Amino acid sequence: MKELAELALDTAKSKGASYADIRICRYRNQYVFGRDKRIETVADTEDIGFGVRAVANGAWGFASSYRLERDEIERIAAMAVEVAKASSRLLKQPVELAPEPAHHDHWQSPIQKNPFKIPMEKKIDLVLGINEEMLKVDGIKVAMTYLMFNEMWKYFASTDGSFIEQDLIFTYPQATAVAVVAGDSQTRSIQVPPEQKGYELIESIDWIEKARKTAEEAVQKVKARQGTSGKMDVILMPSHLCLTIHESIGHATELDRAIGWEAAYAGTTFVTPDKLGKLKYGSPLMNIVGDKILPNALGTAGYDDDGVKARRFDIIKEGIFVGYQTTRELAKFVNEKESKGCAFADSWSSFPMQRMPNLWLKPGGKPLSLDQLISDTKEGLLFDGMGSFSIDQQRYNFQFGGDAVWEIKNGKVGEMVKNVAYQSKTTDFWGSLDAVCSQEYWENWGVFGCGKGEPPQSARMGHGSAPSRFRQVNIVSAGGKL
Amino acid sequence: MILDEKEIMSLLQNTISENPGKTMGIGVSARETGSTRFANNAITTNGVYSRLDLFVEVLKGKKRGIAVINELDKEKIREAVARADVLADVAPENAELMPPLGPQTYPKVPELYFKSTAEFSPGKRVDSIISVIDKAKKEKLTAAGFFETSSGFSAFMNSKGLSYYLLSTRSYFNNTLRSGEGGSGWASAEEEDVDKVAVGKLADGASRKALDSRNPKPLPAGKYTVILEPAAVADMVWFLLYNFTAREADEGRSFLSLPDGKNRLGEMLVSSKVTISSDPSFPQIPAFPIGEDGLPQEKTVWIEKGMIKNLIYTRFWAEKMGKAPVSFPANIIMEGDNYRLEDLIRSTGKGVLVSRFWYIRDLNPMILLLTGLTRDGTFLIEKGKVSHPVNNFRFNESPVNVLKNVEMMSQPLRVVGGETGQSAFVPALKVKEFNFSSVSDAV
Repeated sequence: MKELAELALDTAKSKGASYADIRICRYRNQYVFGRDKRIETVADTEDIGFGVRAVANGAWGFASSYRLERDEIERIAAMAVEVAKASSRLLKQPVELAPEPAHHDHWQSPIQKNPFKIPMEKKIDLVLGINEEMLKVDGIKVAMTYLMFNEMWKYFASTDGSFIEQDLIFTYPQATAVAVVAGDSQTRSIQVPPEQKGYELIESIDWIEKARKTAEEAVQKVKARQGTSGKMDVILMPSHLCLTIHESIGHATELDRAIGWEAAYAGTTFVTPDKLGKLKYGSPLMNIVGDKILPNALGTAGYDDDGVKARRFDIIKEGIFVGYQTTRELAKFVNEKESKGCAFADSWSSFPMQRMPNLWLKPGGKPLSLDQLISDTKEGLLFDGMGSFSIDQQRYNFQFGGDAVWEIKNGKVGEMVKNVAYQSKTTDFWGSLDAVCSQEYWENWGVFGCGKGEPPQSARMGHGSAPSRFRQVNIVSAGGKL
Repeated sequence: MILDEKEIMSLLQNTISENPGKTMGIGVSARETGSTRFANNAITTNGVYSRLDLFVEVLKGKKRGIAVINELDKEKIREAVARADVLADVAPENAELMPPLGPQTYPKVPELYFKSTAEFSPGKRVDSIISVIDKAKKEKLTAAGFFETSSGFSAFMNSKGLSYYLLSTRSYFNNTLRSGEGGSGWASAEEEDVDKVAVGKLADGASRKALDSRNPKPLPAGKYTVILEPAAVADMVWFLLYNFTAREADEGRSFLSLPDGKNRLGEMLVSSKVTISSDPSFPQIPAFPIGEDGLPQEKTVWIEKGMIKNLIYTRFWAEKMGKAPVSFPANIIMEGDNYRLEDLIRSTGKGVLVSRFWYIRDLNPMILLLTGLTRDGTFLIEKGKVSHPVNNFRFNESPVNVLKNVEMMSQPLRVVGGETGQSAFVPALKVKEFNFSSVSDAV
């Protein structure tokens, strides 16, 4: 592999590249999808290819191909340089990459059981078993279970002297019960965080017990009263807060958005560079970390797709915004000497761009259990799991629903309510954070399909937190009749 | 590297011939793409991409296995067939699996492949982008956007005699021009023939919106008469049709559900002004004439003068319910009226003009309640004129209400939805009582 990589780098250099890198990648996926008592899909997929990125005349060029052959590598490397030269006609400032030592390394997800070596029959039995258990609950109309196993093998080499091989494995289970009762339909999903783990993730869960509980909650949800609008305290569980962190902090603190590179598509951000070190993002309880080394998290790796060694860094400290997510190219825009290691490409055929690392909320510093937090809340709502989500192109105005929502009355969890969401402005919302449970309640959740860029790319990242309370948030009712 | 029809069909035929007696299908799709992104009046990324996927399915009665690779090497294809075969052995019977189709006759559609697009070079993309940036600079605006051209084919053959090969090109352009004074404008286009992408006109459109939307004034949330420009209408109608599946309706989990397992097919759902169809042969917005499992994609009327005429029926659900299968829409064609956008504005005493929507998501599928935001130019209309730009809004609203409350329509045109990114041939709409639920400070 090293020989092929060197061929690409040498070709790019001989054509005039001042910098070049190549990623040779092999992606392997396995899918099992079952609906009710049937298996609809069993599939194995494999995708192999390479992409060459080159800087020539100060501009980027990129070319990629699925044909991993010597003549094709030479053609594609030359083409990347040719494209860079075409781009340089419209150059505002030349690409400057923050320095990074050359790395020669191999990194692998710390998995215990390779999911691709587990017999398919076992996975099929699990999917059917979960669905069957859900369908036993009166009121459940449809049960759907999906297992996805994914391996990303990448070989990165650059003209800076790095040769890095990485092998990442992910396990993503998802199961949903659909209840239909008295003219309404609601869903509830089994709450298991996707992680960078092997089949041990599947084996660590009592799926049948979870399937039964989830299906019963789906029926409770469909029979629940409609939520009402108004101001209310909310307690957000880590399974839910995951997406709120992702959308309102993660995307907002991406430096490429802050300097306008995403203006035409995903948008920019209210967190402009002049606010670095000054913006009061939220309450002093708010401590957010960017992190590519968190064990088993979805965004963890040994190195990013710039070849930068993974690291951890502060984004928000005691409510103050202190750091952006960056890449080698972006670091200079905030006068930083090194990259934070946040480059990622979702395929050999994709140009690496700045993508969110794992980004998580630190637990509270004082002992606080979930029970204590609920007991301390007179009236409010408790949100679990992800629901509807939408946020504007500068990350001010958002609205989130939950997978399940319960009312809290006089310090106790009461009945479930349905069709509610909360709507707020990012800094108002995080400013209303007044309690975060302590370390033992911290859980590592994540987002599996985050879209960004044109052409669109999908990425995954972890978002951990402990249950947290936000005061007097605007609740929106989503009920009504057609 | 696009393989010609003869070469690829011969590869597919040989694979099937190598497996006598096996019920199987094999498909190959390949695409050569070039795309350039720009922002802050300069190019940010520029690349060429060559992708190929080879799909094999093996069926054993009601059991099916699937393998996907991205190589054309004969030995690798043999391995993929063997893998799909093993998975078909392992898979339990799926009572809903339909038998493979035999030979089909597809409707003739307008040309989907244009050499002009296939041969469009990175240099030509850069030339176009330079012209946009020059316009932006003249108006002291900042331009960002994306220009992509691609060519490719999609081919399939099965052991029952079904086969097709489709060659196509696609060009897609968008530009967002922004001012430092809170203004932003957007325009986009998708065409099979890149020569039809009027980059200059699209840059002018975005520039005008960016200048007109500077210094927006506050306007509170609430229910307003709105004029939705065609790009906003495209998103609303696509979200409506995403949810037009008969099975969900019959199972009681859709806004189209009625008691006792019935659905709203045949019901007057929206205003009698509204007629929506799909037709791959429609000249202004042609599409692939191939639907689910290789079924021919015929013209389908979804809503006629307000009444639901068709829902999406998969092959299985159609057979179970005694209906003909109806594939997912190939495109969207909504009839309009003989007015211009300016006429809709002129007829409005007080209202809000919406250029496009963004970040639309389901909020309550049982009433098809959606949430999303306005973006890139939102304006107050007073006494028949655009009065001034206003802040953006979040909406919590249903496309069903939107189409119920239509008061006026313009002539339709081909646009791309800002959220869905999908083309549609739709008019601008004047709609009463549209629910803006909160204000967004975003520009």
